Amino acid sequence: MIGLTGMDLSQRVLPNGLQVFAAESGTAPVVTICVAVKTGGTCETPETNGMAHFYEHMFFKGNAVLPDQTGYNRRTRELGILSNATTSLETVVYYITLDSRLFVQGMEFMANGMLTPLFDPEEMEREREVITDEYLRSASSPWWNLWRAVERTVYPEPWRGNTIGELEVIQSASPETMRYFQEKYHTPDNAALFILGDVDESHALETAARFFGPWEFGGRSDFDSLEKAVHIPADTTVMVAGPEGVGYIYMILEGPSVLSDRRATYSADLWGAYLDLASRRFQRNLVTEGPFSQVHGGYYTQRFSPMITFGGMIGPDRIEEGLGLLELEIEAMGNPDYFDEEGLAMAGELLVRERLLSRESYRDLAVQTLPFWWVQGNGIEYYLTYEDSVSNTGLHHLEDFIAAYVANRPRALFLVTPGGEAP
Amino acid sequence: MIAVFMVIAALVPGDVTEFRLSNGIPVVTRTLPGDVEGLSLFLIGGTRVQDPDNQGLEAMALEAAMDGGGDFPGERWREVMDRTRASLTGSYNYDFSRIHLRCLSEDLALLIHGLRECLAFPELSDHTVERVRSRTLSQLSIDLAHPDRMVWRVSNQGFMPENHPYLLRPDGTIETVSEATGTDLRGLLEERIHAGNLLITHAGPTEPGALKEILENSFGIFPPGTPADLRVEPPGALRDTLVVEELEAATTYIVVKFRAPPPGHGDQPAFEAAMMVADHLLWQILRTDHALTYAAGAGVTTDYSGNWGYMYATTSSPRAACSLMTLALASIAEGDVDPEILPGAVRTRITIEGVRAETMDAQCRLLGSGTLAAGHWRTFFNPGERYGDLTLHHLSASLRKWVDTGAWGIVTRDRNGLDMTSPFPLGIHPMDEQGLIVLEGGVQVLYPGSRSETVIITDAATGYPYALVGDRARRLIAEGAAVASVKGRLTREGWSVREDLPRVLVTEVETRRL
Repeated sequence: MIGLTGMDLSQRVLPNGLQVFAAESGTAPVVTICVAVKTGGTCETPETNGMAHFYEHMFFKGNAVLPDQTGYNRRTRELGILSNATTSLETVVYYITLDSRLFVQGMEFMANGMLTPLFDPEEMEREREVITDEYLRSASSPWWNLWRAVERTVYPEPWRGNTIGELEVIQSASPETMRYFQEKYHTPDNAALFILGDVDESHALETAARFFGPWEFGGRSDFDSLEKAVHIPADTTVMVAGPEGVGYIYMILEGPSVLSDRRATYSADLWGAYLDLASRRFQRNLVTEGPFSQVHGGYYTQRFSPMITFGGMIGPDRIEEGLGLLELEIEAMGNPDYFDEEGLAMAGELLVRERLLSRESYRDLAVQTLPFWWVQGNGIEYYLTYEDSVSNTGLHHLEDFIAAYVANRPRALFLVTPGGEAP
Repeated sequence: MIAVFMVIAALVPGDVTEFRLSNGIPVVTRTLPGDVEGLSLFLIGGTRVQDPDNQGLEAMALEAAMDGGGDFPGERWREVMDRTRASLTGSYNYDFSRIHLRCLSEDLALLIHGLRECLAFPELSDHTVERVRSRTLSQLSIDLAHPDRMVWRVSNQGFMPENHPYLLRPDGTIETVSEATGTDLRGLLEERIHAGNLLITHAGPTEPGALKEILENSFGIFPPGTPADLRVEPPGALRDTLVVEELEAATTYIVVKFRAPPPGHGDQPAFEAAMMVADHLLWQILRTDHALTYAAGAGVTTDYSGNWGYMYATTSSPRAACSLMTLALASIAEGDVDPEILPGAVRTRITIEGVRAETMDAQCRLLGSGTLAAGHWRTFFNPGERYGDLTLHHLSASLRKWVDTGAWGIVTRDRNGLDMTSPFPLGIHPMDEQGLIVLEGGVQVLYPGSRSETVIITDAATGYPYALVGDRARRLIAEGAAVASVKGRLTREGWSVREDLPRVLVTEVETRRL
């Protein structure tokens, strides 16, 4: 048993390498079962761009027990299952929630999907069309141009910043590609299982061993040895076409990776929390008394795409003014007077409170918070020791972080205006 | 069905307390363990109390008010919000606005007091008003460019009667938001915030006694007031309609809306269950079988004074998708559905309710919706009880009674490239080109001569019975007709002893005696 503020988390590592985590809550009579796999867009090549996502879709399209999606749909109704999956650049999660009294059946259902996917060519053919519509929905978003511009500007290998992939590659997906992704990444030693909700923890761990124990060890994943995916060698400015009446400033700098500079990631989070304080100068100068209707500055923890970002919504006619003020703020951060001790204490407290609040929903914890930190921290220890690490972060750590990652560092700047350019 | 009933008891909460503040504001609280508190303040009215010139101003006023006021002027309020890491979020719809506070227990009293100050004595500085205006205008502009947001409103154009308050936008328009002044917003808050317009719901660890004291000392100061009569004309299209909007979208977005029972109506559970089944059918037919879409779904609103059912899909083959959506709904109306889907849909709904039970925000929303829409907080907490006894026959009857026409809204890149030019009739009632229901078949009079006298016609083509109402229907009785050919429109007016049947107000009739 490992302790977290406000909750306990049981852990076991199966002989095949699968890490299993369980936590019990009596708030609601449901349980959530989630498998997180270390893969995603960052593992892809031009030839396989979008295949981690395609694989995620095939989870629902049949396995050794449920031969096709119709069978899968029928079983979800029999068990009253809510199921879904998401693919991001560095993680794919598969999850179900169901009546906790049907927990064992739910585990069997989940294990069948993970261990014995079929990749039936006819099902793949149909899913190709489904994914195409998903792609076209994304391409219909007013933010599509910005997403594409970011991907092409800060990723030397743009496919590593693109989860859904390119249409031509989606059209070429084959059962062989799926098998490749299965054998390389969808193996227990490259995955973790999270069981949270109305279930006894030891029962959860035992059931996990029963159904996921037969999952064959892989040992083929290269995830932990991948290279960093973002690189911004020099200042770049991109004008991006956006909707009428909308202005948006988005600036990206390379951030610290958990793997290479863990100390800086805590500093980065504390710094981001400080910038989020409505009572301190960043928000006051830019929003409360400035031209932005909202603004953010922060760090997004990623192993291969760690980014420091600034951005905010602003009237399109005030973009220039807003950018000037934002750059002044960034420049001023190099001065130690920018931060006050009381504000730093508040920022630290803020991070702790955010964690407490995030534990309100065990479903969210199971499918978002814990898988995210398990992947990003290369294990759950980063998450478990996070509060202590942040509390040991002081002003001088922030100064080091700013000197290394913010002050005078190259940035990619995206100005979204109605007059910008479409990709 | 065993699994359905096993969890019912766990989902119907026994830890809910109701009380009123001294000024009359009703409070519903559910005491739940944990660290997190949720408190929702419902301001009843929505677009029902707005007009084309002030639509969206209530949302703007509340957003601006939450920036500080009274004992908590902006700077202090921002400091408090920073320290507590609490969130205050506003949501604005056709029937009410809702301000939701999420915080840790230790901060609840302080934050409720602060929220009261913001609403009762809002600062509304010029800069705050301008910032909220800028944010709202940006959001409205994004909505106008987003097909997924736009398509719902496009459907409204055919669905909502002219001048209906649901045609207004709770978040305003570019024009109303651009022209609003701080004085407008202040006046609106003074006019709208009184005890007769408010409902408070809470979920979290604070006990009812302590909560009552906190609330009495805060929201207890609001002036008393009388709830307004806010009934609206039930929305619905007189005939099948198709409204197409062009937008730079890479796929086509489709929504069809149709009539549904109003809150608290006896048909509501069956109609809701029918739409739960429709949701599963669309997933099976559109996505699994035909791969026409990534996203398809069906549902029904339950917390408006005028509700509607809807189906939604995105696709590159709109004609095929619309045809299959129509077919899915018709198959439920026909009772031609795999019998396992209904209990499966109910089980899934029970799981959804279980997930909702995990968050205080969802709890507050459910407590409030049930209270406002159906008169009791309990309404949406007992899905097993609500749907457990239903059969496909009930679902079929509810659809046939309520769904007469569909209002299709489509957002697409090029209307000329659209492979459909007219709406698909939802196919549940036989209709002519004018939107009148056309029935021909045997006539039966139930309880002749009594106060319960009711005329029933069984349509020969479909085998469905309808209750006929109005003067011309009564004439059928006088004429002793055995077979008739009638035209009319679906109505909620009149009365029939067969409450389960759709009612048709007869406008044309041709009779034959046997």
